[in-house]
Amino acid sequence: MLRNYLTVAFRTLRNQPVYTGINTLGLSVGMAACLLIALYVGHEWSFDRFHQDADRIARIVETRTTPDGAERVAGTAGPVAPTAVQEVPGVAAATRIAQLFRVTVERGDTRFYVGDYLIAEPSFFDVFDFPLAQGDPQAVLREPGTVVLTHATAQRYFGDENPIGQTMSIEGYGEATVTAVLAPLPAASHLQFSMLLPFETVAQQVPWWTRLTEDWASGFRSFATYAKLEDGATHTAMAEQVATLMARNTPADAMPSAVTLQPLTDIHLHSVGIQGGFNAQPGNATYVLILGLLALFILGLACINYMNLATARAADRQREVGVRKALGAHRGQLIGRFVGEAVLLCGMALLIGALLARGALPAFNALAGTSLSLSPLMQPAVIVALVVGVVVVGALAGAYPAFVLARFRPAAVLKASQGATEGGSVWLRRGLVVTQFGVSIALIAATLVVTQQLGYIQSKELGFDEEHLVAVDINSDDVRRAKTAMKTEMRRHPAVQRVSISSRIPGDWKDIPEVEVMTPSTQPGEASSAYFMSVDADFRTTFDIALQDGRFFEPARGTDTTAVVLNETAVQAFGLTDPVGTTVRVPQENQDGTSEVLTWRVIGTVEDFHFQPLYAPIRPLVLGHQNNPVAEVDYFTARVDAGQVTAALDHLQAVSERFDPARPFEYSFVDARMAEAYQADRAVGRVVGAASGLAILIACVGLFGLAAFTAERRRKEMGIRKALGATSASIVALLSADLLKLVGIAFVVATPLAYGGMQQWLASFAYRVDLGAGLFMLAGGAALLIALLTVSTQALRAARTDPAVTLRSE
Amino acid sequence: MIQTENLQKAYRTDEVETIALAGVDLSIEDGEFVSVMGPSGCGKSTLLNLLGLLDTPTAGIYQFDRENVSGLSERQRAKRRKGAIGFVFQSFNLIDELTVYENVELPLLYLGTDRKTSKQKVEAALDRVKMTHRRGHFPQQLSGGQQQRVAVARAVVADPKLILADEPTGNLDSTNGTQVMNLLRDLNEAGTTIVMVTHSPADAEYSARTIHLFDGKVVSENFIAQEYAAHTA
Repeated sequence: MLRNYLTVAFRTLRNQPVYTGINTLGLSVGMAACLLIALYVGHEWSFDRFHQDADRIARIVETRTTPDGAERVAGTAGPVAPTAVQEVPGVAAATRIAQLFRVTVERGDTRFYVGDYLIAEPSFFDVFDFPLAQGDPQAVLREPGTVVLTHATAQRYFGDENPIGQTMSIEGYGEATVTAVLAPLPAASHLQFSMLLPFETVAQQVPWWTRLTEDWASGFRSFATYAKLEDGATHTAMAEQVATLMARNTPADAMPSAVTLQPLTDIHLHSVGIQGGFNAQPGNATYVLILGLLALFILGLACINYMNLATARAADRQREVGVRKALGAHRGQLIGRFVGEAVLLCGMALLIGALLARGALPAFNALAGTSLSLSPLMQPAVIVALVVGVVVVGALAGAYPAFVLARFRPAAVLKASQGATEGGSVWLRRGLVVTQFGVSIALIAATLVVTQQLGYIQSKELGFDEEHLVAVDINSDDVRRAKTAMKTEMRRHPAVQRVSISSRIPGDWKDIPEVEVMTPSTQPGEASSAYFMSVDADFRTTFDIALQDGRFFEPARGTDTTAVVLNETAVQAFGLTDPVGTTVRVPQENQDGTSEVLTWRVIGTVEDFHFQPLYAPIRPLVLGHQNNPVAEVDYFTARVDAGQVTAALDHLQAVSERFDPARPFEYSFVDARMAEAYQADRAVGRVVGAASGLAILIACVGLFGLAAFTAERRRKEMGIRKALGATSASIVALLSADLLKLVGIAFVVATPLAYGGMQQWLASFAYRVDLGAGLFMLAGGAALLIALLTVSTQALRAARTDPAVTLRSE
Repeated sequence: MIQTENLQKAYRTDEVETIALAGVDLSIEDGEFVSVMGPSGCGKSTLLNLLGLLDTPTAGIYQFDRENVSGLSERQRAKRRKGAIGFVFQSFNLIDELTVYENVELPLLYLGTDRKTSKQKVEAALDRVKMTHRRGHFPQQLSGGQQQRVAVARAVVADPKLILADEPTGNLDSTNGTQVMNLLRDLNEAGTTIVMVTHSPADAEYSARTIHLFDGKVVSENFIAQEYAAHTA
C-alpha cells in the first residue's frame, strides 16, 4: 500500500508541474532560509557548551545602583573566588581571570603586539575544559616566569618548532618560558585569548597586583570570577551564599546591591547591558529569537501555499478519493496517503533547499556578518532531526488538505454529472492568504523602519565632525611621555590639518571612566556621576565641537592642568546656573589603594556632542586636562585632508614608528569605529530585509497559484460574461478584486502589530525616527502592488480567452 | 443477497428537503442480473449508492448478505464493501496516476492480499477483459471502451458477490457498449450478482429483471420470463 501511495504521490507531482513547481519553490526557499538561520541560531546557542560541566559553571555578576539606574558588572573584587571555594559549600571550584595593559611580546628579533591575553590561576583548568595539546594541566599556571600559549599563538611565534621550554620576553611581565600549549580554541567560546599568564608572573612584576587580588574594598571590579557548582546546587541558592560571603568581608559602601550567578551558557547571548568581564564576540538573544521567528514565518508561509493550493485543487482529487473509498479505503488510510504526498514534497524541497542553502551561504555570511559553514548539518543527529523536521512540516502542511480530501463522500463525487467542488473552508483559505500577506507587510514595514532608523543615525548631527578623523592608538608609556613631540611631528605634514591627544574618542565606547562630581552646593551623598575624558587643547578644534561658554584649554596656561570643561548635559545635571569659574570636587581612588579629592575649576562649557552610540541619550561629560590622575591618554586623533588620506596615513605611520619602533602602528577611522556600534542592527536589518523579500516572494508565488486556479475554475463563467458583453477590464477587475481585498485586510491586521513591534525596537535608541503612517502605507502599497501584478497576469489571461473556446470546451 | 424494506433517502439543506428515495422494497437473489431504469432524478443512482454502501439511508432497512447494514458507520461500511462489492461507473473513474495494472490491483491492496496472489488475480482479471497487453498504460492512453473494460476488471478482481454498475455504457459507443455488456453477462453467468442502472432498454435486455423507479419509488418490475425462470429454477 505504501508503494502505491508513493507511486501515486510521485506521479501526481510529476503530472502537475505548475502546482509542484509553486509548492516546491516555496518550500525549498523556506527550507533554505530555515537551514541557514538554523545554522546561525545553532552556532549562537552552542557557545560555551563544549565545557563538560557547562551547566554547572557560572559567572558572578554584581548589580550596583547608581543615580542613572542599575548597573551590572561582570567583575568582582579579587578575593571572592578563593574565599568562595573555601567557605561556600556547593562551590566545587572557582577561578578568576583578569587583563591589564596591552603588551608587546618579543621573541628574538620578532615582536608581536598582544591585547588579548588573560591573567589566570591554576584553577582555570579546574573550571574550564580547554584541553592542552602539550604540557601538564596540573603543573601549568603555577610558576612565575611561565606562560601558556594557545595553538594559534604557538604557531604564530614558533612555527614548526616545539614551543615547550622556549622563552619569550613579555613587556611589563619579563621573561616567560612556555610550559604548555592549548588545543585550538573552539570558535563558540566567549573566552578568546592568545595566551595565559600566571598570577605569579604578574605578582612578581606588578607591585600592586597582590594587594589588588586580596582587597575586598577595591572599587576596581578587575576580576571576572567563575564558579563551578557541585551537582544539585542551584544558581540562585549559590548566588545568595556568595552575596552573604561578600557582605561579610566587603565594607558596606563597596558592597553591590545584588549578586547573581550568570550561567556560563548565557554569557554569549545574554550579556547585553553587562559591563566588564570578557565576552569576545557578544551575541544578542533577542536578535537570535527574531531570526528564529523569521525562519519559522518563511517556512509557515510556504506551508500555507501548500495548504491553499492543495485544498483549492481538491476538486481534481475528489474522484480518486471516491474510487479509493468505494474500493474499501477508510479515512485514516486516505489521510495517510495525502499527508504522505506532502511529506514527499517536503523531502524534495529539503534536498533542493539544502542545495540552495549551500549556494546562498556566502551571501548569508556577508549579510549577517558571520562565517558559518554547512558542516553542522552533516552530523547524524542533525540529519535525523532534519528528517523528523520534514515529516513534521509535511504533516503540518498536508494535514488540513488531507482531512478535507478524506472527508469527501464517495456517493457525491463519483457521479459523472456531479460538478467538481473546491474543498475545505473558503474562509480558512482566505484567512491563510491574509496571514501570508500580513506577515509580508509587517516584514516590509520592519525593513523600512530599520533602514530609516539606521539612515537617521548615520545622518544625525553628532555635535562634531566625525569624517576624516584618523585615530592612532597610544600603546606604551614611552609614547605617552613623548606625546607632545610626536604630536608636533604628526602635524608637520600638509595632509594632517590638526592633531589632538585624548584618553577616549567617540567610537571607543567601552570603559569610559566615570567620576563622582560634587559642586559647591552638593549635599553629602548626593554627588552626580559623569563620564570623564582627558583631552588636550586641540581636542575641540580637531573634532569641531562648538564652544558654548568660557574657553577651552590653552597650551600656554600652566594652570589649566587643574581645569575642566563641561558639556551642556553636565551643566544641567550638576545644577549649575553660571558654571564658568565654579569649582567641582572629584573623589579619586588610586590603584595603590590611596584616595584623594581632586578640586577642578570649570573654565568653559561645550555644546553637547555624541560621545556614545545613539542608543543612549547624551550623558554628563567632564573634559579634563590631558595631564590628570583620572585617565591617561590613549589616542592621537588627526584631522586629515580628504584628498590626501593615504599620504596622511603614511606620515602618521612613519612618525609613530620613529618614536615607537617596537610596536606596530595601529589606527582607525573614527566614523568607521562609530558605525561598528550599529553593526548588529545593520546585520539584522539586512537579514530582515532579505527575509521580507523571501516572504513576499513566497506569498506571491502562492497567490499566483491561487489566481491561476481561480481563473481556470471560472473559465466558463468568464466565457458567459464575455458572451454577454463584459469587457476584458471588467473581468480582470472581477477576478483580482477578491484576492486584493484579502491583501487589504492583511494590511489592516498587520499594521498595528508591526507598529507595536517596531516601536519596541526603536525604544532601544535614545534618538529615533518617528513612525509615521506613510511608512506603513508604503509597506501596504508595495504588497498590494506586487499582489496586483501577480493576480492580474492570470486574470488578464482568462479575460483574453475567446469565449467560444471556453464555452465549447464545456 | 439484497433485501430492502421501506428504504428512504432524503437530502436536506437549511431550506429544502429533497426526497430521493421514498420507500423502496426490494429483494435481489444471489446470481441475479437486475436492471434499474427510470427518468433522470428518479433515484436510480441513490438506490445504487445505498446498495453499494457508499451512502446511508435516512430510514428503512437494508440487509446485505443477511446482515442489517442500515446503520453502519463509515468505517464499518468500508469494511463490508471491501472485496464484497465491485463498482462500474459511467465515467470509468480510473485513477489517472495509476497504470492499468495498478488500477486493477487497488481493491486487492485494500484487502491486504499478498503480492503473489494479487499478481495472479490481476492478470486473470485483465485477461478476462482482454486488456493484458495494456497493463502498463495509463488511463488517458486508452479509449473509453478500453477504460471501461479496465474498470470492469477492477470491479471483478476481488471476486465480489455483487457488482453495481451505474450506466456502464453511458459514455461508450455502441460497439464498446456491447463489449462491456457482454462482459457483464459473462460475469453474471459465472455466478456474480449484478445490479445495473441504465437508461438503455437494449442494455436492460441483458438482465433477467428490470425495476422501474419513478419519484423515488418502485413503480413496476418486468421479468424476461425465460431468463428469470431459468435463474429461479
